[in-house]
Amino acid sequence: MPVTKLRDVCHARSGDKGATVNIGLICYEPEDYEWIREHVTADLVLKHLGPGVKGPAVRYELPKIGALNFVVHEALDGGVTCALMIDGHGKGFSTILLELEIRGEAPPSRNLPARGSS
Amino acid sequence: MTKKQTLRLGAGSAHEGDDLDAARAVAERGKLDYIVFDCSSEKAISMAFMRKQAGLPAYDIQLEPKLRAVLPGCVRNGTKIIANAGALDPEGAARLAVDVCRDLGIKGLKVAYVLGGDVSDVVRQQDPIVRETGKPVSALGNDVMGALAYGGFEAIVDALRSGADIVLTPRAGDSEQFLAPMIHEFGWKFDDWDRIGSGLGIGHLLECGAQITGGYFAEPGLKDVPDLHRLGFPIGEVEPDGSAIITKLPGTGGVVNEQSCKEQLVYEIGDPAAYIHAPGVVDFTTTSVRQAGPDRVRIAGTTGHPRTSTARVALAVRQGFIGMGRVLYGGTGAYRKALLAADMVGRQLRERYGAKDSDLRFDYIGYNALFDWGGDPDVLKEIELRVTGRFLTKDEAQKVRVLVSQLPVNGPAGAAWGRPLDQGGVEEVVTFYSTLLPHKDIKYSVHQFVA
Repeated sequence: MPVTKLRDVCHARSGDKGATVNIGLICYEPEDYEWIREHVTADLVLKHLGPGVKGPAVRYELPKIGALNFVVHEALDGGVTCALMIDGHGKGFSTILLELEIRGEAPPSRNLPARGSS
Repeated sequence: MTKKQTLRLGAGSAHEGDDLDAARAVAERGKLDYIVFDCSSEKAISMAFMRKQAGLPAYDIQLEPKLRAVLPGCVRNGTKIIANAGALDPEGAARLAVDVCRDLGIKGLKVAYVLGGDVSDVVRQQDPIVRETGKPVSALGNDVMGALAYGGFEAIVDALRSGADIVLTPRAGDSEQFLAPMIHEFGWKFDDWDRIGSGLGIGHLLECGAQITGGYFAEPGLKDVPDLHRLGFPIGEVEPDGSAIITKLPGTGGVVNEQSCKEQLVYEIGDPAAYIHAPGVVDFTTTSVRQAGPDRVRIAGTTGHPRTSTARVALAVRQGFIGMGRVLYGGTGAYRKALLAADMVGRQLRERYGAKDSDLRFDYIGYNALFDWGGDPDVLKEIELRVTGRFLTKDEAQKVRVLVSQLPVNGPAGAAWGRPLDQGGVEEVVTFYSTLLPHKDIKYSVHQFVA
C-alpha cells in the first residue's frame, strides 16, 4: 500500500495565539485538495502531535487556495510568555505535521509524470 | 480631498526587534505612501508592563533605532509612519520621536499619539469575565498588573485626517494599522464590510514583514529562496476596491509567490471565514491568490462581516519566575547521561524546593557542539540537557541554574558547561489572559506634537 508523507505534497505554516497553535496545510498542487480533505482529519492531526498537546483540534477548509487550517487548543504550555517548552511560538509545529504519513491511495499529483523524476 | 488610485503600503517591522536595514531600504527606495511598524508582540507588551512597574519607559524601547533608520527616507519621500509602539506610554513615545527629529535636523513633522488603550480602570470597574478562567478579573487578585486594549483604527484615521506624519498608538491591531490609511485615502466607510474585510486581509498579509517575502519559508530542495541574508520587506499596492498586489522592494533577496502568500494568509488565523479584528471580521474563504509577475502576487475577492460588539483586551498577569539551566554531554551514552543528570536535578528541585512535576521540564537537544563525531548525523552523539521550571519566587527559580552548574563536578561524567550554556538563569513571567469590553467603553483620543 503506498505511503505518502505530507511533506511531499504540501507545505505548511504554524503560529500561536496564546496557548493555541494553528497549522495551515497547503497543497503544492490544487488537485490534491480533495485528497488532503479526505485523509487529514482533525483527530488524526491531534493524535500525530502527541501527548504534549491536549486539544481539542478543529479543522477549517479553504478550498479556494487548496488549504486546511488546524486550530489546536492547549498545545503551547500556556503560551509563549510562560511556556517551559522550547517552541512557545509554535513555529515548529508545521514541520511536525509535514512528517505525517498517510497510508492508502496516493494523491492525484503523485500519479502525474510532470512532478519531478521520482 | 482627491482620492488615491493606488496606495503603496510598506511593512517596517514584524516585531519590535526586526531588521533595521530592511526597514531603511524600503523607506528609502520603496516609494511608499505609508510605512507601518508592528512593535507589539505579547513578549513586548509583557516587558512594557514590567518596565512601567520599574519606573522605566513603557513604550517600545527599540522605537528610537527604528525612527533613526527610516526617518531620513520617509521625509525625503513624503512617507507617513504608523506604529503601535506606544504601549503603556504613547505620549512618551511621541516625545522620543520629537527628540529624534530634532537630533536629525528634521523640522515641522506632526507627531500624533493616541491615548485610551490602557483600560485598566475600566476593567477594574466592570470586572468582566476572563476568557481563559471563566471567572471575573477580580478573582485574579493582585496578580493583575493592568489591561491594554487592541484597537484604535478610528483614532489613526482621525490623526491622518488632521495631517499627522507619524502616528503612534498604544496597541492598534497589526492588521488595522494597514487598514487605517486605506480608509483615509480611499474614503471607505467604516461599515463597508467587504472593503473593511479586504483591507484587514491585506494588512494581515503585510504585517509580518518578511514572512511573505521568503522568511519563515525556505526548505532546501523544496522551497528555495534566493539571498535570504538580505530579504526585502513587502510592499502592498492597494486598489480602491480592496484588491492588491503584494510585492517586495526590487533588488533585494527573497521571493513573493503564491506559496509564500498562502502560507502568510493562514498564519495565526482561526476560522478563516470569521477572522475577528476590532474594525470588522475578515472572510478569507473568498480570497484568490494569483501570481501576476515575478515577485508579484494579486490578492482579490476577500470579503468581510460586521464587527463584533466587543474589543479584545489583554490582561497582564504576574505568574512568578522561570528558572533555567543547560549542560552538554557527549559520546556514546550521552543521552543516558543526560537522563541521569535530569533525574538528579529533578529530585533535588522536588525534595529541596518543593517543585511539582507539572512545573518542571527536561529537554534533550544536540548535534556537534562538543566535537565533530563523524558518522551518521542522524545518530545522536551529543545531548544538551535543558532544565526549566516555574516557581513563585526568584530565589527558588535561581536554584535551577545553581543545581545545573554543579553537575560538571557532582553529576554524570563529562559535562560541558561553557558559554552560552552558563548564561541566563531566571526570567520574570508576565503572561496574558484576555477579556472583552464593549467598543463604546474604550475611548481613544488623538493628540499631537510638532517636531
